[in-house]
Amino acid sequence: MNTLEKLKILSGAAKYDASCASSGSNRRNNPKGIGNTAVNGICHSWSEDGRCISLLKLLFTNFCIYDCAYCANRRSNDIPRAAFTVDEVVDLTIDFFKRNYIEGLFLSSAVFGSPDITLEKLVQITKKLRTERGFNGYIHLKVMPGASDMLFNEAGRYADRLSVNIELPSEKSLIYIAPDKKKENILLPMEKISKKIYETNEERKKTKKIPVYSPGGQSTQLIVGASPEDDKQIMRLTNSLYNKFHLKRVYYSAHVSVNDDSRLIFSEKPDMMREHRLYQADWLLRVYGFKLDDLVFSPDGTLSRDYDPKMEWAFLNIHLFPMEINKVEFEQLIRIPGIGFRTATKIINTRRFKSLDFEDLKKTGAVLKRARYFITCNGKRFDQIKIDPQSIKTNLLMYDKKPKSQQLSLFAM
Amino acid sequence: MNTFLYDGSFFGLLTALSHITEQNIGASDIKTQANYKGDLFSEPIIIETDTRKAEAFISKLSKISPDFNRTILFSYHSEIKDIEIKLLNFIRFALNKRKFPTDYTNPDINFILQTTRKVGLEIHRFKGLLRFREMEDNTLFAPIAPDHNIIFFLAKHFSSRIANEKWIIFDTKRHIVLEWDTEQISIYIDKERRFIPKNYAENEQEIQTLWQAYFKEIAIQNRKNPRLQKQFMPQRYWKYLTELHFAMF
Repeated sequence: MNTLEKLKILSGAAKYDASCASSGSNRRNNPKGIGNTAVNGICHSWSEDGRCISLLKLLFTNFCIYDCAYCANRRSNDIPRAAFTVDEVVDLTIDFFKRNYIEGLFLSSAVFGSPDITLEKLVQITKKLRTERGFNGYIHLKVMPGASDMLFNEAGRYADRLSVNIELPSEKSLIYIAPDKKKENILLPMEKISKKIYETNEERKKTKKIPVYSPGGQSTQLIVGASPEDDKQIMRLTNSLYNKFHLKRVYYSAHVSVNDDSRLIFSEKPDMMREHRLYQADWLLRVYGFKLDDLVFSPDGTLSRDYDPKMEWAFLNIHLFPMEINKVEFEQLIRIPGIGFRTATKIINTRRFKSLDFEDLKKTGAVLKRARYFITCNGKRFDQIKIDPQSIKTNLLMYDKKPKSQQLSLFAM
Repeated sequence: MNTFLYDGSFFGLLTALSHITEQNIGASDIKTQANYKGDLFSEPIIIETDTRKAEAFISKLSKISPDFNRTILFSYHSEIKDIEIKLLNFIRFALNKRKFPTDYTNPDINFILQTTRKVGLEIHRFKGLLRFREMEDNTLFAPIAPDHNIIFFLAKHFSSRIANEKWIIFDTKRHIVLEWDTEQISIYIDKERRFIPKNYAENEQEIQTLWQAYFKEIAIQNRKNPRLQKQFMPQRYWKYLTELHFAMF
C-alpha cells in the first residue's frame, strides 16, 4: 500500500478527534532546525465542514484490539486497515510543515498489540522528529491509557500537548459501550499528566535545565449523544476536569452513528445544536468566569435550545439588571447578553473618553438586539422596554425573523 | 484648507503629519504625489521627506503611548484610499488629549483602530494561508495576493520558523519579493519576475496530491458547512491554496 492510500485511510479515521489547537506552547527554533510554535496557535486552512486545519491529524494505525461500540475502527468492523511506518509519518510531517500546510502533528492510534507497544511507536516518531530531523513545530500526542509511566514521561518530554480521550461521559456508559476501557484507566493517566506538568513547572522555577513537560497542557474529548448522560452531568464532569486536572480544553463531539449497534442511541445526524450549546457553556466556565451553578438546566438536565446559556442565566438573574453601561466593571459587562469580550474591551476603552449612549454602543459592536433589555446608558432605558423574562422572550421572538441557522460561532455570545 | 503631497514613503507620511500638526494648519487632504490628479482651485503643498523629523515625530508619539508605532505602521501599510487624512485626525485627537485615542464613537478613530486590527488580522491569516511550493533548486516559493501590503510583517515569522531552507515570498499584486537565504532577509521589487524560480521540484506534485487528499478526507461529510468555511477563509484568498487546486501562479 502506498503512502497516499494509507493517508486516506488513516486521516479519515482520525478526523473525529475534535481538537486541532496548536496553542499554548512557544517552542523556539534554532538556525539548523525547522519549525517553532506560536503561543496563540495558527489556523492554516478550513475544511469543508468549516473546521480549522492546524495540525496534520493522523492515526498511526487503525488495527485495533478493542471493540468499542461507537468507534468505526473497532476490531469487529470489516473495514480497510492500514499502518504507517515511522518514517512515513516523519516525512509527511516535515514535507507538509515546510510548505506551511500545518503547524505540526496530531498523532493518535488505534491500540495494536498493547497500549505499551502502541505508545512506544508514537513516542519513537516524536523523538525522531525532534532529535534527528530538528523539528520544533507543534506535536500533540494522544496517549494510551494503560501504558507505562516511563513512556508517559517520554511522551510529555517531546510533545507540546498530551491528551487522553474520555469518550463517554460516565463510567456506566463506558463499561457498557467500551467494555475494554475503564474509567480509572482514563482518569488515572490524566491525573498523572496533570501532576507531572505541575511538578515540572515547579522544578523549572528553580532551574531551567529541567526539560519542559507537555508545555501546551492536556485536553480531552467527549462523545455527546451516544449515551444517556444529560448536559448537566456533562458540564459537571467538564467543570471538575478544569478544576481538578487543569485541562486546557474539553472538546465535545456530537455523536454520529458509524456502527449499527443496539447499545448506542441511534443518531443519523449529529445534534449540532446540542454540541453548540455545550461549547457555549464551556466558554462561560473557562473564559467568562461563570461558575457551574450559574449554568441553567431544565429539570431533565438539558441546556436550553432556544436561548444561549448566558441569556438563560440573565433571565434567571433578572434582578441584577439593568446594568449601567458607563459604570459596571469589565467582569459584569461580559455577563450582559449581546456583549462579548471584544465589545466589553471597546466599551471600557471608549469610557476613558466619554460616556456612551445607545448609538455609541452600537459602534462598539454590541448586539443591541439582545443587550438592550439588560442595560441603561446614563440611566436611560432603551425605549419603553420592560424587563421581565417573559416579555423579553416575546420580543426576541418577534425580532428573530431569521430561521434558527446552523451557524456556529463560538464567539458571538 | 490645503492639500499636502508626500512621496508615498512611510517617512514621507510621517514628515507630512509632523509638519501639519506642528504648524497647526488646516488640511483637507494628504495624498501621494503619484495619486494626485491636480485641482483647478488650489495649489498643493509638497512635503519633502525628512527622516530626522519623521523619527522625532514617531518617538514623540511613542512617549504618549507605545501603541502608536503599530497603529501608524499598519494604517500606512493598509494602502486604503484616504487613510492619511483619517490618520491625521486620529493623531490630532491624540496630541490634544495626550492619550492614545480609543473613542470608538468617533468615526475616524474607529476607522483607524479597525484598520489596524484588519491589517493585524491579515498578517496573522497569512502566517497560515501562505503556501510554499518546492522548486527545482530546492527553494521554497510562495505567491501571495493580500489586501494590504503586509509582506514585510511576514519576514520575522518565516525566517525563524523555516530557518534551514531558502525561501521566497512574492506579492503578485505589488511585485514585491521577500527572500530568505538561510542567513538574511532581502526585499526588492521584481516587475519582470526575473528572480522568480520557474520549475517545480520533482516530488512537488506528489506532495500536493497528498495534501489535497488529506484536505478532502479530514472533512466530516455529514457536517458540511461551506458557508462557515468561507467565513473563516474568504474566497479571495483561495487562489494560491494548494489544497484546492494544483496552484500555478
